[in-house]
Amino acid sequence: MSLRVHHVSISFREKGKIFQAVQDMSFDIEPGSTVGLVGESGSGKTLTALSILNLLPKEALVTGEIEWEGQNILAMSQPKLRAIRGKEIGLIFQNPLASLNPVYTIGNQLIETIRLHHRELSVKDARDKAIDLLQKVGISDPASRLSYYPHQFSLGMCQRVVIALTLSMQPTLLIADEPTASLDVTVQAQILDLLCAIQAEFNMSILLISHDLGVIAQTCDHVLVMYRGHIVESGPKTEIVLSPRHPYTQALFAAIPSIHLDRPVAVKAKIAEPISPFDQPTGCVFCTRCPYATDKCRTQSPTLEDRGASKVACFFPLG
Amino acid sequence: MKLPLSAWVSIGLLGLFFVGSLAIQWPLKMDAQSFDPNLVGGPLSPSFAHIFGTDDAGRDTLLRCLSGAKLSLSIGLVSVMMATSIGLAVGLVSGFSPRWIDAGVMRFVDFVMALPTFFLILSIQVLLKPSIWNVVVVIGATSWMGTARMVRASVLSLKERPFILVARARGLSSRRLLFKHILPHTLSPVLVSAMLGMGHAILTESVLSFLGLGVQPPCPSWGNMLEDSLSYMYQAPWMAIAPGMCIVCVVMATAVIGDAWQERIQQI
Repeated sequence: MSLRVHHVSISFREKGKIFQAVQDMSFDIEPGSTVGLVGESGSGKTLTALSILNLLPKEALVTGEIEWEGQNILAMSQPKLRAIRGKEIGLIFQNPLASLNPVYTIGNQLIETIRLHHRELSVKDARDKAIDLLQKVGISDPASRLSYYPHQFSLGMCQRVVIALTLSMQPTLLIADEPTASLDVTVQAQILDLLCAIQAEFNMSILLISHDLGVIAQTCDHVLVMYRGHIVESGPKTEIVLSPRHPYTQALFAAIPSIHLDRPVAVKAKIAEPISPFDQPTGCVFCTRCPYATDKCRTQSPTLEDRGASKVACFFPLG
Repeated sequence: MKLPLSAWVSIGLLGLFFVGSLAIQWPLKMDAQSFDPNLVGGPLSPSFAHIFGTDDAGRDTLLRCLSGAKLSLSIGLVSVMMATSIGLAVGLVSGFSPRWIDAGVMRFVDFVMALPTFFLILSIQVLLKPSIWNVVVVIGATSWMGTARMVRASVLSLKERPFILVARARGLSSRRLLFKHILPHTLSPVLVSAMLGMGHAILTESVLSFLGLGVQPPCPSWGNMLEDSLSYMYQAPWMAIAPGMCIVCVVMATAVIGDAWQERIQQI
């Protein structure tokens, strides 16, 4: 089952002004593949994720089409949406502790979710399944952990529980919105390994959203780079990592902190002048921060065009 | 459960009233006696036979106070249950509905809040025949607004919490979200305000009965006992002191318990 995001724009209207959060975004996710979505905070990554589940706040104006198995999610009825949410498309959120209801034990939440989509299961069967799942995500002594409340787990363990919750419905597409952002590096690696292992076992496709290029490079097949609501570069991981063509992608790589103090820096984005989100600059979205920007960049906006194996939205792609 | 001593004393006090009011009715079968005029008549001062003295008709004040406790406590309890249910329902609906419904419901709440509640109660009691059920319904129907606002406020903040969004992403229906994942979070403060509201309801009942618009004689209530005592203020002060102390004790007790509970919630 594949996902096709087709010319999706998301905007908000506030006091008569329009704030374009995501503009004309298109991408596909093939079954079994892992697609990474990178970009800085506020670039529209999370909105994209929410729009795929049609969970955007009511104020959001969405145009375009999001096709799941040939059906437009944006035009679906609520009962149909509920059947897809969780069961076919799962969501893992950034902060695992906040993703769990603090007043219920994790056993309660697991069993609720399992029985929501498998009504035929008895509470006892659902409990057995919950224990199975906890084992699968690497939680020791799962039977007794069922009676734990979320706050009794560490963040890493919590994220494992959230993953177990999502897995309980065996979605075919998993949207992981910064799944490792609040975890320390070793736990981060464990969680990423777990996601990869699960993907192989259940043959899921994953949309991995992150601001961390290291995470993306470690896991994804295909990478989308977002800047201020636009996809500026899109291509196979190897292309993007080894020969980034958009100045913004290069700047992102240059911004990775390194323990090699003398590492040469290829491109450095200028420190951004604060721009009001309501201002739609003419020309390329990145021109205000691009060290190579010319007059053409400031007046005309580039579109995504094939450059070798990847697509780049830049008049003067590098490399 | 860890509560301060004052709260335990208050719980004990309420329990004492509760047990006492039941005891005179069933095992001791003394309830009838509290209505029976004593042949000697006149207010008798406290003695071993009548610890709190008797009233002008020679009826035992202690027994009448305990009999009144049954009424006051049940009126307090039932009217608070009614107010809390209405408040919860209105708050949940308002907080979870689209903005225009929310706005409409809240303006209605503002309107009810702006009504001079006590005069409303008075006029209803005057227009309808005063009865215990009227008292309960009227108190319940005019004291739910605080709860409604409180519940709405917590629903508004809860529905933006990530776990609600994630639960929605798991395919939960709105009804399930509301009742299973939002409602339990709002309950603790609601229970505290219900406890405080009970004291308020008991006070309102006393005032109504005092004015002769609540519980009707010969059925004893703390309020109408106070009214009876008015004309004997100097000859028989115990007639006023006993029911007055009952009111003060019970209202204080509910307030102390409510406060202690609130402290405890905030610690968690």
